[in-house]
Formats: sequence, structure tokens, C-alpha cells
Amino acid sequence: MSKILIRGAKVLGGEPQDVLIDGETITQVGTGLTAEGAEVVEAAGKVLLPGLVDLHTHLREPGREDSETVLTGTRAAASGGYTSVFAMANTFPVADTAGVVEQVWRLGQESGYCDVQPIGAVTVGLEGKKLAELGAMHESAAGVTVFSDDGKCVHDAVIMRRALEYVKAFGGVVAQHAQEPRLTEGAEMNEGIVSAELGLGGWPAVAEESIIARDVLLAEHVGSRVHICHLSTAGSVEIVRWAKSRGIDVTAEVTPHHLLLTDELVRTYNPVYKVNPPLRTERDVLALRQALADGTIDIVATDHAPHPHEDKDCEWAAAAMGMVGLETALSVVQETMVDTGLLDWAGVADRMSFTPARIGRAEGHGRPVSAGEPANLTLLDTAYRGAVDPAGFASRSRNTPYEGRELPGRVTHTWLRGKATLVDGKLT
Amino acid sequence: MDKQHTQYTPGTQDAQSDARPVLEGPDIARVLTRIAHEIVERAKGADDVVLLGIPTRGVFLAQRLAAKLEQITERKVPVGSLDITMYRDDLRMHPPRALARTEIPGDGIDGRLVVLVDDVLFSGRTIRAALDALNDIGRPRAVQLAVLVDRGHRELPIRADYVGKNLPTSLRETVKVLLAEEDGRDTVLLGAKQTAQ
Amino acid sequence: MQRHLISAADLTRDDAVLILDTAEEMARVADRPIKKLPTLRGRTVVNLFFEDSTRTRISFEAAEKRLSADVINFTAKGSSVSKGESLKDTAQTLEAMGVDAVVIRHGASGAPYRLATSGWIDAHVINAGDGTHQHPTQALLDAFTMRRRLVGRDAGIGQDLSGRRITIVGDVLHSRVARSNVDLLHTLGAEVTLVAPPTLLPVGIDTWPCEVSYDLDSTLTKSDAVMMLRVQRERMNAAFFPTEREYSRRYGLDGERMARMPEHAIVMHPGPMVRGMEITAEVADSDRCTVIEQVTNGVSIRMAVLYLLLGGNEPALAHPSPTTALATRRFAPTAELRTTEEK
Repeated sequence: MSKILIRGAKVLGGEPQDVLIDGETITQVGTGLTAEGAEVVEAAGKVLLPGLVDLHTHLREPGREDSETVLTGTRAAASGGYTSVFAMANTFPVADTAGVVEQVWRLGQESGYCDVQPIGAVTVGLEGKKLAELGAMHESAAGVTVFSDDGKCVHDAVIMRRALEYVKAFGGVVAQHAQEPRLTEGAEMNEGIVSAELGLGGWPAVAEESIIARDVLLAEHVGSRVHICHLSTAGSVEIVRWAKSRGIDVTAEVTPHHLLLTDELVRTYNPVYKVNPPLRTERDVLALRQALADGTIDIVATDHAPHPHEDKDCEWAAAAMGMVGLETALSVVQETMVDTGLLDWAGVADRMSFTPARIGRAEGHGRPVSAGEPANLTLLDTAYRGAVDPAGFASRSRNTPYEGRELPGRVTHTWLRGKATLVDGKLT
Repeated sequence: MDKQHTQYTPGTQDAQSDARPVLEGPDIARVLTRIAHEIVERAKGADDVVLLGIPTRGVFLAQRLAAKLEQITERKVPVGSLDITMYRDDLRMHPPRALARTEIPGDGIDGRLVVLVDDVLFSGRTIRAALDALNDIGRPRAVQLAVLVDRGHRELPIRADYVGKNLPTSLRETVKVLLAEEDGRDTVLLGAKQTAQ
Repeated sequence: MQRHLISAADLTRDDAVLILDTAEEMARVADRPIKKLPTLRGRTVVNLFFEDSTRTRISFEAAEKRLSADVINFTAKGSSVSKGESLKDTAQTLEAMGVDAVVIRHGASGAPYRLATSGWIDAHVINAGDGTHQHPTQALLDAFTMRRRLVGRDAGIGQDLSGRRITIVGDVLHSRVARSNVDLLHTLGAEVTLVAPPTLLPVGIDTWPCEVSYDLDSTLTKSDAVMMLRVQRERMNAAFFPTEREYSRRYGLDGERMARMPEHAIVMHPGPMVRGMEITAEVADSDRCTVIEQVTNGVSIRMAVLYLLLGGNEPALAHPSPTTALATRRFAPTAELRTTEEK
């Protein structure tokens, strides 16, 4: 097997070190390392992180291959520094059976760019009525441990309770898309000053917060763990903080876009800013950053949601909700968390690799950068600053809200078990 | 086209130090009196005359003429205004202008002798527009034209029936009519067109 | 340079007064034997209506025809739009036929804005009502009606509505008319009070340039004009109010309430009225109700807007277009966030 010597990288942002990869494994970390015949990657000034893990990705296959496939989605993931992604269940057909999750899992294996861990649906057809065969999905080759109806909320309190209880049998976790459906009928954007002015249907913060409050209490009651998808409001942060202080087993994620963008952007009526949950206010954004820094929010997850051009090149009401995010996530986190001094690179490794891998039980991912660990790594040029150009995306879709915006940081290399998937910013 | 030569903008006048008066207040009063007499003579008593001034300064001239006609004939002479903005042939060459008032006297213009009144006759395009506008309002027995100054350079087959002063000019010159109602004094100024810097 | 009319909020005071003054002159054309001006000869205007609104469409059509524009009417019903074809494709198809201006009515808030700013077409865009967002020509005709009645036809020329107290009553939440009127009336110096049950007022209304009241009776006595908004009966089923009877008792205008208004005060309604709901027949048919006048004035206002946007080589409304205004605002929030944190 080939050897790779990464020379002079700031491991987790610390002092420069050399990292030697032999085959699929990191064999040495230290200074002044040499290795005969090794391919040398000069990494002076760059930051080396464990391969990123995304607990919330929409790969769209099967069913919507016009927006993304497992192959294009995993290529986008590698470009963004990811070595593992969790694929959401809202495909066509829905990933609510062992058959569908195994199909997605196999496609991921074949792609070779990034490990794909399917997420199973909580209820049949995401309809919120009848539990899907959670156990069968867990026992399948895909080994599903995370279950979510993402895109829809498991709004029925009894179904949610049962799901939380049922997955205890095999250490699963339910990832809740917190959205009270009655309070969000006709919702098109955050309910507030801007929605009132623009005449767009409001998505009130309370519709998210009331479900989170209910679910942390349910998790406490049945002694299970619950994960909150894309938490987006200051009020939700308060509830999760309170739940954690009570010892409730709750984890939460925030998306990069909720760390950066506000509902003021909707004034353009440009559907590239249409996303669910919606962009919130400046106050919410600041609270989310603070919560991610202090650990109330555990992880960053992209909610990478590819859509074809025509689904965004239209009026707001007709447009699809969602943004692509895999290829810009690290840059947005650097912009909002690192360059602002809220989080150091070790913190980023925790929020984007160690902890998501732990929540999702992604074996071999989210491991320390040390000898004997799998060589899942990503190398980042933090001094880079440039405008986002969607034309260069590996994703099949271009619906990024950052087009033309200048952001810091660029992923130059990604290694998946010692195999380079990205070299000098180019996919292999 | 005509109009821009009659717009008086305070400030630019002072910069135009070489502008010289060609008609002063008393001259203007005198030529209006003469025109009034000519109208009475040609219209055989002017009993069906309607005066329509073209905004802005043509309206004041029409009102002055009406007053003089009343003195002469001892009858009330209907007077109104006719805005031609939306009939201009150069609309597409400028941003839209604010509209002025069109005020047709109560009995209308059908079967009457309409005398259009304007301050300066230049290319003739304003008068063409005025004839089009009249056409949409009614059918006069005849239409005549009275102007304070005819400066020449016609671009259309149009002539005035009553002229206060024929003023041969070059295209490099400007003619400005100032009237007390709008500008605080009566005078007609002949100046040089300011060339672009 | 303003190429479009999307929102009443885009108009400056001077723009708005210019439109009202121009409409006053346009109104006189209606008194002539030939109600027609050659002003827009050779220009093509399409009325692109994705939502049923016969009265607004006819009003625009009358205005366009009086200005001699070539008019194409396009309604979504019975066209390729009803399913499938997108707004973009429809607009581009029409523009390929040489359209100079698009008058658009659309059920989705922001559709006219999107049409004007997305680079799909070059034509001028005039918003004839979008979702629950804006209906700027309605606000202009309302202001025109108020100025005529409260200031005077001739006395009003060049004037705004400074100091006039206007009360707007009803379903503000779902009303583009209310939004447009609050914006325009504020620009024109009027003092606006919105009256509605709390369920029919949007969240964040405290930031609007107006007063808010839940009590109709206390505001009536100090109003120069009271504008009643249509309240759809279906709102009752979504629990916005308990019953029709309770709504009309608390927020409807009847003869007794009208009698308590100042003598000079007028009653307005954008139509169509729901008699027996927000307004009784007695009030609707009284001399103080301007609903028919508003319809007449609508044609004059739309003529004025069409003339000022399309009549020359460039529009006469001098304020920046929403495109430019928003482009500068576009990334502002983040910039603000960054500075906040650097402190």
C-alpha cells in the first residue's frame, strides 16, 4: 500500500506536525518525519482536521436523480472535506424499508468518495401515522441507527413517544424535524417584521420550539435519546439548554446557513433563500453561534438540499425549499465561528467530526488524528478568501445562497481511509 | 421644441449676460392691443371667438387678450387653456413631462372660431400637436393662431394669423418670453444658446 | 431610474404627488367627447392576470386604451399557465411578441418583483396586486379619492394628505390594499390607524408607520376617512373570528356608527363589498361612500402611472428602482453581524 506524508500541517489548528499515512491507517504523528517512497503533501500553514461527518444530507437518490445522485452528492461531500454523510430518508420511494436503505448504502460504497450511512424513516412514507420497520432497517446491511422523517415532523405525540421507546432496543436515535404542522400551514418564511411587510406566510418560531419542548420531555419520560435537526431559533436554544441541564439525553444540530443568513435576504424574493426551517432574525443567528460555541448545540449539519435550477428560477411561492451546503459548510463555519473567535479548530473538529460521528455511531469516523486511527482526514487552506462560484460545484445542483459572496477557507485535500478523494482542490 | 426656448429658469438668465431685451413691458401691451383689434376686425366682431392659450405662458397671453377683447367688444370672451403635452411628437425623446391644465370654456368649441395663443412660434410642432388635441375635443368653425413672437425656422407648413413681432433669429440664439404672472416682469429676451462645456 | 411600479413603498412623496396631479389631468379626458389620447400609440401593454380580478383588469384596460396603447389580455384560466408553464416562460413568450409593459396580477406575493428583477424580461412591470403583498395602484387611487374629497379637486393639486386621519378597518393580515395604503398614506403625511381584531393583524405590525387599535368606535369620531376592507367569510372557518355576526357587530360599519363620524368624513371600500359583513347596505349606498368614485378614479390613476412610466424615453419617477435599492441591502445583515461581534 502507498504511503502519504503530510508535512507541517497544523493538526486541529495546533503546532505544525507531520502525519504519515500507510495504507488505510495513520501510522505516525510527529515532527521531522521521513518515509521512503512516500508521496509528500506540503501542508505548511494549512489546518488538518479529521474527515468531516454530516449527519444531515439529502442525496436525492433514488427518485430525484435530476437534482443529485449518491455519486454526485458524495463527490460534493469530498470537495467539502467530508468522509461520511448521513443520507436522509425522504427519497422516492421513501427509505422506510430495509431494501431502500441497503440500496443507498451500496451506492455509497460504490462511489468511493465518501461513506454513506442511510437514515431510515420513522414512519411509513413519512406520513407520521405508522412506524416503519425500524428494527429491520437496523439489522440490514446498512445498519441504520438514525431515524428521521426529516422534511416532515413526527407531529403525533404518541407516535413520537413510541419511536423514542422502540429504538432504545438497539441504541438508535430519532432525529426530529421540529415543525408543528398546524402552526405552519401556508408558511413561506420566518414569521416576523419581514414576513408582515412582504406578505409571505409566516413560519413562527413557536412552531419549532413547542415540538422541541414536547420531545425533550418525551425523551426524558421514556429514557431515550433524541436529536434535534436544524435548530433555528433563540428560543429553541433555551429549551435545549434547559433540557441538558436536567440531564435529558438530547443533541442538536445547526446548519451553516442559519449561522450566517437572516430573513432580511428574503426581501429579494429570490427563492435561493427559501429553506425549511426558514432563515431567522439576527438575534436568532447570534444565539445559535453562541450555543454552538458553548456546546448547547452539539454539531453543525449541512441539510444539503439540492434542487434543479427550474425549481428555484421562479416566483417564491412556487419554489422548492432548501439549499446545497456540503461544499461551503467549512467556509461558513470559519467565517461565523472561527474568524469571530467563538470556536478554535479543535472545536470545529468536535462539532463537525467527533460529535456527529458519535451521535450517528459512524464507525471509523470522527476519530482523533493519531497513530493507529483510520486515515480519514481533510486539509484546509484557512488563509484563502474568495467568492463562491457555483459553476465549480461537484454537486449536480447549484442552489447556493452564497453565490458571489466572499468566504474564507478552502478544502485542498480529503482522504478517505488513506485514499485521496480530493487533491489540490480537485476530485480524484 | 418650441417650449424649451421659452422656459425661463432663474439663475441661467444671469449667466447669460449677453441676453438683450427685444420687447419690453409697454411693447408687449401695445402688440397685444393691436392683435386684439386685428381679431375683432378679422372675426367681424369676434362674437364666436374662443381663446385657448397653450401652457404655460400662452395661457397668460390668452387671458390678457381676452381682457382687451372685452374692452373693445364689451362682451365676455371665453378663454381657456389647451395642454398639448400628450400630443407631442417628441414624447419618446424625453422623460414624460408633468401635465398642464386643459380648460375648455363651458360652451365648448364646436362651431366656434378658436384662436390658439402661444408665446413663441418656432418649429411649428407645438401648434401641430395643438391641432391634434383640438380635434379630440370638438369641431371648431375655424382655427387661428396668435403668437407674441415669430422667430422663424418652421419645420411644418404652419403660419400664424396674428404676430406680435417677427424676430429673425439664428438657430444659435434663444428667445425667452417673461411674463409678470409667471416671472415677475414682462420682457422678451434674445440671447445666445449656451454651448455644452 | 424607476422602470417599474412594484410597491407603494418605492414611491417618494414627490413621485406620489406627481402621479396624483397627473391623474387629475387625466380625469378631465373622461369628460371629453373623445376619451382618448395618442400618448402610448405604438406601445404594447399586456395584462397578465394569474388571478381573477375583472374590475382591476378592466380598469387597466380602459386606461391603456384611452392612452392608445395596444392591449393584450392574458388570463391564466384557459391558458397554458393553469398547469405547468412557469411565470418565467409565460413572461418570456409574451415579451417575444414585443411587449413594452406587463401589468401583472398574481396570487403569489413577490411575483411582480421577481418578474422585474430576475432578468427574465426587459419590459416595464406594473404590479396589479400580488398575493398579500402590495397593490400600489389601488393605494394611489384611494389617495386620489381622499385628496379630492378632503382637500379639493383644484385645491389639491401639488398637495399631499398631511395631517389627515385615515382609519383602515378589517382583514389587514391578508390585505395587500392595507399594506399599500399604509406605505403610501404615510409617505403623503397622513396619520393612519388600523383597526382589526388581533387575529387579523400581522405579527410585527408595531414596526409599521401607523397606529393600531382593536376598537372601532373610539377611532371613528376622529377620522377624516374610514376605509373598510373586505372580510372573507372563509376566514371564520380558520378561527380568525367566531361568527359573522360577532365580526359585523364589533368591526362592521353601519348607519349608526357612520353617524358618529365627523360630518366631512368619507367611507371608502376597495371593493368588492360584502354587504352585511363589514358594511351595511345603508352605508354602502350613502353619499358618503366613495366606492363608485374609487372605480372611476382608478382609470385616471392607471392612465397617470402608464404615462409616467411609459410615455417618454425614460420613466419620470426619479427614485431608485427596487433592484438597485435591494442590491445594496442584499448582503447587509451579515456585514452588520460581523461588526457586532468584532466589538
